[in-house]
Amino acid sequence: MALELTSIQEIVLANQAAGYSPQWEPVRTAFLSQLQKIGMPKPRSSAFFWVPLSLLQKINPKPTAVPKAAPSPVVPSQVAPWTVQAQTQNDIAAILPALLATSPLFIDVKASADWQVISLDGDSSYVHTIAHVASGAKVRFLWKNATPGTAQVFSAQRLDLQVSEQAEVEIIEIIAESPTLSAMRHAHIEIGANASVRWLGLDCGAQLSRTSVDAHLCGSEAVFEIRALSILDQSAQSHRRIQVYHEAPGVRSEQFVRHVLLGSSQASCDTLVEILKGVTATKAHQLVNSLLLSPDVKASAKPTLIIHNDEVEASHGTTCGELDAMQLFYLESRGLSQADSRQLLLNAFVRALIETHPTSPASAEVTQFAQATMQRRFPE
Amino acid sequence: MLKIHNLKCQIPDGTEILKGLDLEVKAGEIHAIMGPNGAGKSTLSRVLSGHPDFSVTSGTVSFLDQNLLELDVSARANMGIFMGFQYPTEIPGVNNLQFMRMAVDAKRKYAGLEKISDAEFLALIDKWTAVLEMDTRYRERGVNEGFSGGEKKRNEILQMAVMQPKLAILDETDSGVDIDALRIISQGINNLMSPDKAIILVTHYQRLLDLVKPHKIHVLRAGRIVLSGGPELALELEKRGYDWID
Repeated sequence: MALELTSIQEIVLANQAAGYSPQWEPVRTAFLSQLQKIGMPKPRSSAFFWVPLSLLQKINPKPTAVPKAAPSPVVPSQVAPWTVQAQTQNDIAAILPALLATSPLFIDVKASADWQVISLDGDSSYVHTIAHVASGAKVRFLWKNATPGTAQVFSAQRLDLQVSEQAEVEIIEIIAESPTLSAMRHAHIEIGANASVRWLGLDCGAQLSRTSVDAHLCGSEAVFEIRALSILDQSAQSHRRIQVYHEAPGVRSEQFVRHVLLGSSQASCDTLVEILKGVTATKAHQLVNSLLLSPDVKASAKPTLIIHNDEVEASHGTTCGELDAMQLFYLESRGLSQADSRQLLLNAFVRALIETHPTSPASAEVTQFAQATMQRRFPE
Repeated sequence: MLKIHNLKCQIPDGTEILKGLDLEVKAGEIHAIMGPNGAGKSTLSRVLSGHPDFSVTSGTVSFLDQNLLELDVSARANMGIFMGFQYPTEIPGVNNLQFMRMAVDAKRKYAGLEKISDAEFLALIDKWTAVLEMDTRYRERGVNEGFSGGEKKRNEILQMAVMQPKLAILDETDSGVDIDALRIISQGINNLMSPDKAIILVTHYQRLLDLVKPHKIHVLRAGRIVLSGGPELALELEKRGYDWID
């Protein structure tokens, strides 16, 4: 007999224990329908709380747990502690895959990996990937929903990534133009000493996308860089929440987000860096630029630094506006037409972000996607 | 080449900056416009280039016997007007060399010519980067991106060289540059001058005029040219300032 639960945490644990069951599909569907009706965070209220789980309590019917069945797959000991940690986070994208009884996919990247390419299943609705990258390994994760002809409506995907010392990780995230898709993604990343994670994201315009990232720089000299670009039109929405924790000396982080907004699109970016007590010789930079190309677009940015130390270098900034009038005049004063000048500046705005990411075969794909999207949005 | 008569203009808040300016510049001449801060020198440069923030309320400007005020910014450039900016704008993401090539091609298209060939363009760039003693790495960077003040001014002259304008208006090209850079920039300007071209130098200092010899000096004050003379006028201004001029 089904048991009605009031605690999301209980639901998660119960569902995870039960595994997937087709009989729960109607409940799941009703739940998702209600979830989509919650809509976007409202300005001045919950805009930066990233859909607190308390909202889920308002859903009717409530999601219901199933009786215990077969045990879930065995979780490797090295990842078990942080899967539990991630589940307790107050973030819908983190918790949905577990809530929907997805069995985790485990990936173990060996130390010998030399830019091994791993595709995360971006086209599936509910995916929970747990990856461990061994010391010194080099790996590239491709996280994209770019398969032609795939008509997703809702997806909730989660990546738990543990990066051992001296490993190098590149994450390429692409959300292709998908006017019917609501995509939620969450990544929980722990980075060891002298290891690096460099993330390049591109959102070409889903109906709604939310990406949340928690990055923990756990080992000394660890590096986390994220560069993300949203090129949106019509009523597309793109929302990012990026939280980076500096937990060891000498670590460095960079957050660089740009929005190109047309139609009545909306984008928000909530970035946080917290430098813990005793963490010295560390650097953190945040920058969010939003280009507003229509009177009906909306952008919000909330860069936050929480610093518990003196010996740090940290900065944050945000800009919001139209194309730079002085740059336009400069180009036109050299004989370029106004249309060509605008095109050049728009493409430059996009390129300037991508070019700060180290060049790789995968970043070239991001460039191609971005260029194709820009050409569709701004035909010559 | 350029005839300005009773030119008046204002900025969006209605403040009149130019209040009846007259000036004539002939081919083969170099004119220097000097004057105190706020006199309207940079405004004149921008009005001639077509900056949208300045609206002309009266007067005429003809360039090569055409009404310049009827043309948009790019058409003025393609007709042969070049403005060297006092503060050249940085444009990250727009490659410096590609931008210059687009500018050259835009001008050629305006004149009904084919696009410039790779070889011809590179030869032009090689020649002028050598004259201006510019490092080749500046070719691959964004327009003025991360350039020092002197490098930006050299880049302006490089653009002027590849665009081969009829009339160059150089707005305080000498500001923010050291002595060596000023010498190199001046050398570039002198090399570009020819009997069918003209240059207007907007400057505060005699030091530029020691290196680029003007034919005429004008003092712009409160939106009007109040005094004109030969090169000796610049020396007198250097000694006496502007207060003695009525």
